[in-house]
Amino acid sequence: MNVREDIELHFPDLESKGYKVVSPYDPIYNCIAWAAGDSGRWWEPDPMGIYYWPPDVLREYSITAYRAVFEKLGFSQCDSEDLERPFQKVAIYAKSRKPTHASRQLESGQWASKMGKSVDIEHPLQGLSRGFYGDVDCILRK
Amino acid sequence: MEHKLPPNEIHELLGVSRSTYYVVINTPSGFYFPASATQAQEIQRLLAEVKMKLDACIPESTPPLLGPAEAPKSQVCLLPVQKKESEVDDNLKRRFRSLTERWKTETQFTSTVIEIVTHPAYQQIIGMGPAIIPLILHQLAIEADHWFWALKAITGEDPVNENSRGKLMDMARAWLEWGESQGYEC
Repeated sequence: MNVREDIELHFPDLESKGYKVVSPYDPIYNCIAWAAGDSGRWWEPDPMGIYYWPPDVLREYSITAYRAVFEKLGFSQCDSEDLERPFQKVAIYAKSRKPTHASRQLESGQWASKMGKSVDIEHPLQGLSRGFYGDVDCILRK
Repeated sequence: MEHKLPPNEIHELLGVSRSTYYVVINTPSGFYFPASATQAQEIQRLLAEVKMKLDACIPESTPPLLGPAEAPKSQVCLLPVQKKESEVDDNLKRRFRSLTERWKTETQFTSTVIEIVTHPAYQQIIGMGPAIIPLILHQLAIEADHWFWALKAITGEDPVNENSRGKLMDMARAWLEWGESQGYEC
């Protein structure tokens, strides 16, 4: 099974909404690091403290903690996923109230996602919904 | 409530060093290592069973209950811990490779390490204990992947410094240096 087939199996809406793979498999960084602009580290609030997590942010798997990461970077809550120049936007996905993923908006209005340890893709925000990551929980901008 | 007999206690019970031998339980469906509470209870049961059999039929002058070889008629055995990937038992290697492949495939889109390391295949790898440290270090030398949790869980060590947290290449390098300092071939 190739990576596109794998992706479409996990995210059934992506194929119909359109997406493209823009970089190869890379376990070095994850989605939240990528959304925060860091492609050199894996950000994780793991209880064993093995991974990087921003100082002064609650080290737990909660929407509150994930939002706080971006609030520390100057983001605040917004209601629209539309492109609003000059704002940068990020979205946090959640499943059963647990954060699962983060995407960031591109200049084109499309969204960019690092898919776990796997590839980077560009996609419409709702393309990932109803899939492995659950749904968009909140959008923030700065 | 956690009820667990840690591997070092099992080694203490058997009178052998953890760094020299690891414990294996053979079952009709394969072999496994005493890492979980269930497995720890199972090895206690098997040891009691073996001891009862030995007490019943073997004179007191017989050798120790279990030595560095397969125990007669039992399913518990001790195997020497290897420091080189090339010297690790082939069955262990096959099982490790199979679990690793499944783990990598099924967690490729998972964004949090907590889910990556609680995957059943990864937990089974941790359950294989110190015997597979050379295999993990070998994998880590080929590709920086999320083996740190397993290494920390198995060894109780954490050689990664604070500034390297999250930098997988640096974390891998720290563990490989640790491995070399412990006599592992990395």
